[in-house]
Amino acid sequence: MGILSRWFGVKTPLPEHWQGVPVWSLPLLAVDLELTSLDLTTSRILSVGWVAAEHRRIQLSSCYYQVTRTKANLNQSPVVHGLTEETIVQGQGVKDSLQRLAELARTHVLVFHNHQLDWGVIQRAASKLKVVFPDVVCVDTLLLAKYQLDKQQRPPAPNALTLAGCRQRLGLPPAPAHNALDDALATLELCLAQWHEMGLNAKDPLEHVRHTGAIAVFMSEQ
Amino acid sequence: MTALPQQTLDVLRSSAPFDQLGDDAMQHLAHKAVLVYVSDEASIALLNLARAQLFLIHSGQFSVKDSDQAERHVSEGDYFGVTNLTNDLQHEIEITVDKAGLVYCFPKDTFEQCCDGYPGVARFFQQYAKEELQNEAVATSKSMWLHKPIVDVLTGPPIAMEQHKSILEGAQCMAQNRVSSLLITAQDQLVGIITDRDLRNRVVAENLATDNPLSAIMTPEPASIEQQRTLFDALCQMTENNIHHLPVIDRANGQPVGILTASDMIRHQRGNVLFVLDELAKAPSLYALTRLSWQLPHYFAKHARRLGDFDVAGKVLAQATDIMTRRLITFYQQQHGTPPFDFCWLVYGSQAREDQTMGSDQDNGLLLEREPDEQEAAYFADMSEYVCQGLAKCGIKLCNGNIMAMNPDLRLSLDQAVAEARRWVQSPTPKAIMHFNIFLDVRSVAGDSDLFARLQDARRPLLQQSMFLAALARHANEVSVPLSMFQKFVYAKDHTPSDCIDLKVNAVAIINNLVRLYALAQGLGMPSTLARLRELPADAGLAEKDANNLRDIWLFLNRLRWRHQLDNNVTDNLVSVSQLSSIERHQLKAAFQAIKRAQQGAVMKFSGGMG
Repeated sequence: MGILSRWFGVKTPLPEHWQGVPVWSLPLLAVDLELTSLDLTTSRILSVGWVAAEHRRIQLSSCYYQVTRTKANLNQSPVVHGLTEETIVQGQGVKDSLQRLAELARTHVLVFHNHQLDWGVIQRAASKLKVVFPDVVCVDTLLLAKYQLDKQQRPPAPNALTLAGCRQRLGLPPAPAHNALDDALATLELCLAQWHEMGLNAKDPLEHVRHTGAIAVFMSEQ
Repeated sequence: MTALPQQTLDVLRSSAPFDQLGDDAMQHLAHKAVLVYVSDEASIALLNLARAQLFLIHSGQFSVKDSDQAERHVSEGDYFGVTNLTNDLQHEIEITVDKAGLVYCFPKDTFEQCCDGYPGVARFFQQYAKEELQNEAVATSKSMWLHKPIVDVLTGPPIAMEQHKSILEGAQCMAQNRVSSLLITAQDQLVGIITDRDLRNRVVAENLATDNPLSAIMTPEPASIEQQRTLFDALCQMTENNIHHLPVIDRANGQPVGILTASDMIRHQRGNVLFVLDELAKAPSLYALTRLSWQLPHYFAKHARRLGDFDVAGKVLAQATDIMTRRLITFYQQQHGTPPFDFCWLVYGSQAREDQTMGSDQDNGLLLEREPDEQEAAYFADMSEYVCQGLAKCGIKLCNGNIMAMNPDLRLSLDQAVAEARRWVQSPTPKAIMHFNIFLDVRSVAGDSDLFARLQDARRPLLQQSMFLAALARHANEVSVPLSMFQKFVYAKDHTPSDCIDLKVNAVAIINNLVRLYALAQGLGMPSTLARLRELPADAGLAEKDANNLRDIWLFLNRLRWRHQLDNNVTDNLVSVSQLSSIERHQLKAAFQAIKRAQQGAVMKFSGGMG
């Protein structure tokens, strides 16, 4: 499903209400998940974090962070994310978070660092829990970074495409990693710095970025 | 509970003054914050939508003009928009983006809530707007009173009587005025002193008639001190001479203007600052002297509990070194007889300025009444060797640059010394200045101080020549403070840890150079930087406000390097920026900026702007 949907995603026209909207003015919502594994088919959501920006202003009052309940085997991730079973049991159902996210997706363009995994997991969970998403536009900061590095025709350094690596290349300060909210904020800052790197003007619409392959559109199943 | 990114909380926790906020206030501030990516015109227009905000740079480099003041280059950790907030203005925030980055914006009402809840936050930004160093610490310093001029604490005219008056009259006068001592004068000049103890020992115990004149029982030519000296100087003199009454005389006419007593001092003093000096002065042998000297670092570490306690440390150490020198000269003379003719033991550099640290080496020389013959020269050579080596045994390192009385070039006769000063003034090349700069801070420590006064008198007009001062001004501008164009700290190269700044070379020495320049131009002879600043007349070209600011900065920098040396048990001045508190980092930056401005001012004044 992943590869196919991305292919469609890249070619699909933008939903009408995003057409011609300047990139810098777009309401953005950077989303990050903590997952039990990197395997799209088995991974479960441990926690969700997001933060919104509009007109290049990141509103910290929009921050959201939720530890979600999961019965899945924790594997190694407690070590990575600092989450223990106890915190997770206290967490609310993932459904609640997905419903809020689906609501925000009507008014925001979503930003992921590697949307293939995170958005893929969200889609799987949403269909299982019967949460309906509207038409969604995703900006992928990893793909934007890859596009820029490919243009330089130099083999990228190891870790150049990690969130921290991308931020470092654009002179953003180091950020604490591996908490969903912190990664979401780090991704959002990266996205703004990337718009700047690409030399986008105040009036350039999102269509001007589509050739990078980093903008994906997912039509609602309804 | 609202979720907040760790990143934002980390930024606030490491940014003075917000590091002092409690958890709730911190959460509230972070929650209200907006983070803007500032990269172009549009983002700057955005910041101007609400001008009355506090801006804190998280990354990037900008040139900002946010008030009537000149444009500032700012980067990570710097604030702007402060003047609009503190003075309720709507000045446009003009920004040139030098490197795009993230800026935290805090709304006015949230800022004001913080200021209301935390007076320290309000104070920080009041001073930030004024670009002044935070002087609070100086005002509350425990040992600053020792830097006060004596004239500031004198309560009234001294109780004095002419020497021909009778003992009875003198005793009645003391009783009436409830004092324990009486100054004795002859034509208004101080000639002696009488204390309660003298009345007991020299009158009652001897059954002496009380109609004898006061001159019969007074201690003639008592130790005295001039009114513009500091309380510290007075305390040292009382300690070293073991006296409890010190007459204060007017520098201009030699008349007594007051008296300082041991109980006056105790009133000011908390903790026995000078215990160690007292012990040194009484040391009977070289062995006792060295044993006591090695306790000095321990003594400082033990007694300095707060940063302000270091204000007097440089003075105490210089005074200790003075006493060691005098003791050593005495020991030498006890063994080898009196010198063939008068000499004066001079000290230079940090000992002269009284800003010695544990790492300072000895800088000294001899001034001789005349040129010695071979045998006389041998006496002084041998004495110098003994004293310098003795100081080294006491922990005052031998000087790498050989600026020591041991060096025959530094045992000059008065005539030779004056001729040397004339040579400096005739060709003040950068290399020559490097060499003789240290000799411009000089003090006499032992021997015939009159000899030194004659040298000073002869040199004064030479050192006031404008060509010479211009050269000194250029020299003072050669070393710059370790700040980049964007006000970031520039660290010493090839040093571990990697974030070190040499506070001596890159800061304290610059202030010393600048202040020396103004002092020489005014013909002021004293070597101490603080004393020079205090004595500069209003028309010296350095505004009183700037002089006070330099004083506070100088004290602040010295506190930092003293703490560094004692905390880390080292003798260098390479202070690691990460070991400073957040507020100290801001203060240090403000200090560097002020030093830079003072350098520019001096170049304008003394070398016509040609740095």
